[in-house]
Amino acid sequence: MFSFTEEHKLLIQSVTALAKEHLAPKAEELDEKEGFNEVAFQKMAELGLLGITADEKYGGANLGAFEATLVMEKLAEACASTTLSYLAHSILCVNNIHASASESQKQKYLPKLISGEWLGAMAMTEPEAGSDALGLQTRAVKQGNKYILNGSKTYITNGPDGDIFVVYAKTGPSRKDVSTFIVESKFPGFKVSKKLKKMGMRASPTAELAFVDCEVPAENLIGKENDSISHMMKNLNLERITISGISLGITAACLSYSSRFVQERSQFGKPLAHFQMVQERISEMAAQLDAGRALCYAAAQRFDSGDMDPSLGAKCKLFTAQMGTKAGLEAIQLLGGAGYMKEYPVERYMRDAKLLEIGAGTNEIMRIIIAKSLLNLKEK
Amino acid sequence: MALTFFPSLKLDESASRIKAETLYRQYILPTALSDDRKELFRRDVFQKFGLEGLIALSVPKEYGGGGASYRCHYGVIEEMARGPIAFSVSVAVTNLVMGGLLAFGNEKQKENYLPKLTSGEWLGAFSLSEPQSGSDAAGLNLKATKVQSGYRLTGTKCWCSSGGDADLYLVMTRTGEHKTKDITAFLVTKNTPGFRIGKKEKKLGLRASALTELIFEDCFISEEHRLGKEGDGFAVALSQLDTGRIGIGACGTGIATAAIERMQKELNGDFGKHCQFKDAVAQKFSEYYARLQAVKMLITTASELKDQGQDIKILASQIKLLGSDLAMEVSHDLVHFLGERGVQEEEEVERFFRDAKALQIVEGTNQIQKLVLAREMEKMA
Repeated sequence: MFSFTEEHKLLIQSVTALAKEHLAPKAEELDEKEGFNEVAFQKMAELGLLGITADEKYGGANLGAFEATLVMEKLAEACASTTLSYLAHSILCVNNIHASASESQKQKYLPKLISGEWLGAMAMTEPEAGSDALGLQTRAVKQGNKYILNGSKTYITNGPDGDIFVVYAKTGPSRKDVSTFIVESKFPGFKVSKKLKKMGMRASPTAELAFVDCEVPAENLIGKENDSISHMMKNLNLERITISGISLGITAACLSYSSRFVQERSQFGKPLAHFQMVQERISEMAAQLDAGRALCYAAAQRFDSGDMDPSLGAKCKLFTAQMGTKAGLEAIQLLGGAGYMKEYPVERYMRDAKLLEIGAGTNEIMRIIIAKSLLNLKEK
Repeated sequence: MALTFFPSLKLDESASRIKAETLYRQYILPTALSDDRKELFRRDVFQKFGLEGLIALSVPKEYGGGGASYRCHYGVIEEMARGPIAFSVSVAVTNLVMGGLLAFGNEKQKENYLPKLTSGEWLGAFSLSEPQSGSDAAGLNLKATKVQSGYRLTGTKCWCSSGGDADLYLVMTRTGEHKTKDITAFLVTKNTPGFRIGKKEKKLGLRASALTELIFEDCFISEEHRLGKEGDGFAVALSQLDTGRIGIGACGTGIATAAIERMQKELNGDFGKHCQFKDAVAQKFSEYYARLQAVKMLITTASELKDQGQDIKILASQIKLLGSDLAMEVSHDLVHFLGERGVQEEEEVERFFRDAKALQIVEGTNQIQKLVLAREMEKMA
């Protein structure tokens, strides 16, 4: 029902083919083993996807939020957790550096990130700073031509194997004194303190990081000291729009798998598809999915046209993340006993979907952002 | 602080609940996380509950049971269901086998099997589902052909809880063409030649309880192992539906109790102090607390009516539906409120969530419960 340009159709085609060949066949095994799909990353690099929003001179594809959202959707239909790692790399790390770093920083880091030689990540959340993102406590203190970082980060996607981290840290006394650093995993004092085990998104490795007198060259500061809030928020908005593509992909997978199942499975002498209660679930899921697509595609296009309204990303993520979990639970219920078994993929779809109601800002934070865009909430 | 529920428990129920909770803390809780991760059913734990007389509370004393009320029995299931629910489910399933024996078994069968089951020495399994007959339970095809002094069974059952761990299997088979009147039940012991355990399923939750295929290859079962008459099988299955459904509802209220108590703890602790949504969270959990009280009352009422021998079909479906939906919703919200902590394996709450989903599916999906209730309403019109 959506009309795409020839370029977009081509992009969808090639990404779908990549997902079918390199993501789908590995999804079940990587979920079980909590592995990581390195081959898929190499194939994405070949298509230029690892720098989807970056300029061609760094090897990027020079595309926008809209195309990135489409790519997330098509990849996530095959394997949501590999897509989440891809998002952490291409949006949280590569796009962030591309949007805010100096030319020499970009020259140094982007080509190797985009060619897939390095894996990228972003580190914002801390044990005591989750929803309250500006409550972060990691400190960076300048000593000569270095910054010394101390603190810990948690729930960091691509943390266990990441080479390049975009790290937020405090450089002053106020809540808003946040600065951004490019930290290489080989810098002295950087440590992966723990690999975390999760309910879903298991093929996307997550870690706790420790910075113990971690030495970061002064030239790795992005922009100016105490000046990171605006690019942090802009990148979060893009993250929320594009991550919604993952929920779209999961829902699409739930819909196609359960639709096929209810036509093949018969009980009481007729296919499940002939029962009204089954039709109701399938139709609801399909209507929700297209509504979610319409919302995300429109929001992404507005973002690409320069609209910085943070409620764009919040609305996309709130709507699609809830939709994804619901679709996962409904798909399990439509398959009944089979839906509960690991042999079928829908229980994985549901486990993966749940994370998207929590990561990149919980549903509750999304509601606050939307409310702030509509209501005057300044204390009188 | 434990939550308060009304009415206060009668002495016998409170005694069995306290025993169950003590055993739960001593034997289930310490390894709950690794049992779930390793998909390990610990037989010794089940036997401990058996030795304490907690597995067969509602079975008459003459067969080794507790001779107590159904309320006591469901109370124990609820306590055990704090999780992993594998243990409460195995007790509920063993009770289906004991219930079938009590309703349809001859004296010799009761004497042979009931003491072993009530003591926890043996684990029971109940096998109805087949690949092509799930919700449509009477659509089963496992063939039992009459031969001299017995039957030969050929075919495959699927999704049998405690498959491989169980010693005695109550198996529904087809002995003729009529969809419901030609189903016959058999008691099959573990080492019967021609009977073997097939594939073990990997599942979203309920992971410490084995779920397997049962494979029958020209398996001879003597006539003494038939439960009831030929053609009684569907009646055997139906006779245990109410017990099974209330058991699953009680697993649901067990998970819901554990989840609400966890939230209570979080709200009163550091999480509550720093949570800017504290009021909204408290609102939600107050509602769940009210719903939990209501479902628990339904279980009490249904148990008392069942003790009196009354028909509780409607209540049983309502309890299954409401108890499992409550467990699902409350555990989902708990995962969510704890945020990233909620999806970490080390936190038991993601297990509550995965386990709760099973309860909406087993013992007749919740959609089937609604069909049952709709049909009953038609009859009332």
